Amino acid sequence: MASEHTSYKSTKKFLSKLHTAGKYVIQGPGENAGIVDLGRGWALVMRIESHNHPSFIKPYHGAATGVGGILRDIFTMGARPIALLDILRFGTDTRARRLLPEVVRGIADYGNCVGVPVVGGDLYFDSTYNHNCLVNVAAFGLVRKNKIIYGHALTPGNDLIYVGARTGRDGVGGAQMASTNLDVHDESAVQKADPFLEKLLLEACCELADTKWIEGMQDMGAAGLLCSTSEVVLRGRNKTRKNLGARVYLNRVPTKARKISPVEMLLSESQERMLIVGHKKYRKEILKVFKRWDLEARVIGNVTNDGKYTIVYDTSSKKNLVLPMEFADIFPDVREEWDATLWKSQNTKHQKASRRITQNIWHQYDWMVGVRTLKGPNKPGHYAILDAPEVGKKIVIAWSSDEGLSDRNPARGIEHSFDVCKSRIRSLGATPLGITNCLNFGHPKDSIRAFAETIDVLTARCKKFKIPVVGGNVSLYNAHGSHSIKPTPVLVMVGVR
Amino acid sequence: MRFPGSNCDFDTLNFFKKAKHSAEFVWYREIKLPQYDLLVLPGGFAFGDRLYTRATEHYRIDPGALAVRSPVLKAIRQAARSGLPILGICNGFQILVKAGLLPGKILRNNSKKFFCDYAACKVVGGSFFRDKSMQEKSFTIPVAHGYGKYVVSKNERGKLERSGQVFLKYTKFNPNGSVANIAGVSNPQGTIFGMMPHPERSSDARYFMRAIEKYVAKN
Repeated sequence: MASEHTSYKSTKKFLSKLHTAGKYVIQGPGENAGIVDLGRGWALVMRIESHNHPSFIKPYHGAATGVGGILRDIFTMGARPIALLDILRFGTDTRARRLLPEVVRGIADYGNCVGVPVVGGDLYFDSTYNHNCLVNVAAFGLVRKNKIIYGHALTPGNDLIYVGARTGRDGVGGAQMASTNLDVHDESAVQKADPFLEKLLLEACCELADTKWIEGMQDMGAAGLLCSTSEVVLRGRNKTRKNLGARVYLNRVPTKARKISPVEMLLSESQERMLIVGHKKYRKEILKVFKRWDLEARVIGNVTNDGKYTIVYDTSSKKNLVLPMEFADIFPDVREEWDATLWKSQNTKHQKASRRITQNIWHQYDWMVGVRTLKGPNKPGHYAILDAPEVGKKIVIAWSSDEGLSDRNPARGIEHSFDVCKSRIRSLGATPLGITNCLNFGHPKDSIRAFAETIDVLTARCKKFKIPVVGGNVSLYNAHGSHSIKPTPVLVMVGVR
Repeated sequence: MRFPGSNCDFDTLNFFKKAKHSAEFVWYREIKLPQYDLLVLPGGFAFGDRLYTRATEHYRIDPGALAVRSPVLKAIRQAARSGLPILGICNGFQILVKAGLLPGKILRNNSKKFFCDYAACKVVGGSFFRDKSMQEKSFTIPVAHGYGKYVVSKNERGKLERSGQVFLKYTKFNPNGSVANIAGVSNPQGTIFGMMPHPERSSDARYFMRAIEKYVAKN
């Protein structure tokens, strides 16, 4: 939990500067995804995430689980996913040529099966990515404003329900891996993807989000059971100011591997699992919905009011673990300081993929399912237009990276990508609602200053044009040996018209 | 017909609702059906294109295999016997073929890859839902599939073409390598229609809707 991936320990002090408020913002950073208001009672949920390290090690499953994770972030908020974007950066060597088709196949198999269209993306080649490809995936979902579900538990006595795939050893320590250099390759730390299970989860969760039976939902993504159960309670404690706690029975967790240890169970990153905070009196109804969708669900614990996080491993109380819920004491607010050394330009060629290559990629994605895609990848331009008949409007999505400019001047790079997005949205006659960004940087020892400059300029731009950042992702340590990738901030801006 | 992995379910429902028809989902576990004018099997991945005993356990890839064993297939077969019109789109077409309600076989695309784009198609043979006004006309219809290569033996192909059962063909470009560019076939009686392209996504959707409406009104 104290890894960079989950705690943002090196970047927190910079991220807190971001401009995150605005009149369309319903949910800013801090939840599973950001939410902006579309009007007429509907809202758009959006999020971007990187899956760079896993995709380099196991390209197919790495990329596919990246899509799975981001889709769960969307439907945990009660929203039905309507679109995906894939932003790819690859090296110029033979390894990159082998990785790319597998990454694309991973994204395609997952998105197509779940039934969410990939409506756009881009691809650049640069030798700076030879040892660190970038795979960023953004997702968008639609939700009724009064049906938004948050990742919190508010009421003592409520059920903590585990649903989806069984817990295995896959991905133990994955979040840790994503926060170190890519010198040591550990294949077992990459999880396997199962898009059909995700589809079942999606449908079941969307059905539940429409009822009054549940109080919260949380993805069991990176860091797994421990993080998800403690996170829902911690959010609840902050919101209610009540002395909430949790009791988790590990012996009730469905497992697929035999003799899995309690620590592995708590940290496993097995994909396609969700945590539901359900009202106790509707337990039967909730379990029935999961059964209808062929899913295994179990009540693995409950919300308490003793302010303690209790892990029950088996019946003998000796093996149980009780932690105080003031998690801040156990997991202190870690911050890591780095010297702000000036970014050294690499001056390598940053090349856009040819039309032939990109066409071969988007042909493999079902970019029309959902019948919303008005402008998809079939026409050129880094933007997509989606139909939203629910609100009688069109959603415009524009994305941009720095196009290699950040290498020479990080401030100029982010400014360029902000301006490209903004003018695209405006030129299409849409009102910008918010931004989600993915900040891909190298090792903090040489990249933290570039990161800080990027945040400063982005914040200044956001304030000037009153476009808030509602969520995003930071990916540091995209480095190999002493080589860091060029700073690669990716911006995704949405507007409505 | 809604299977757990049907993902064109809402698109297809809205296709009929937009034309002011009352349409509803039938869950794959139903055995008896109320009185309907038309059954539609939508696109998607019915059971993730898989064959399994439990969704959370091991599986083998085989599109349509599990759908064919689902309870609702009994009801579909019965409806087929009584002459009720049935339309299978994409995965729905795969299921109807797998169930033996339509002739032939559907295999993996020649490219071994999923393919999605617009495809130019021409209505031929006995036409879509026997609508003579659509005959020999060309339409642009989206395709999106990884397993869409329709194959039949040479003999049977001749039979299908002569009897007008082949009602849709790709014209400019064949996205999957199907025999004789076949994109859609019907049964000999002309009551069951299966096609790989997605009419519900097409900007020419209204022509297909009108053909269905005329057919249902007549029968």
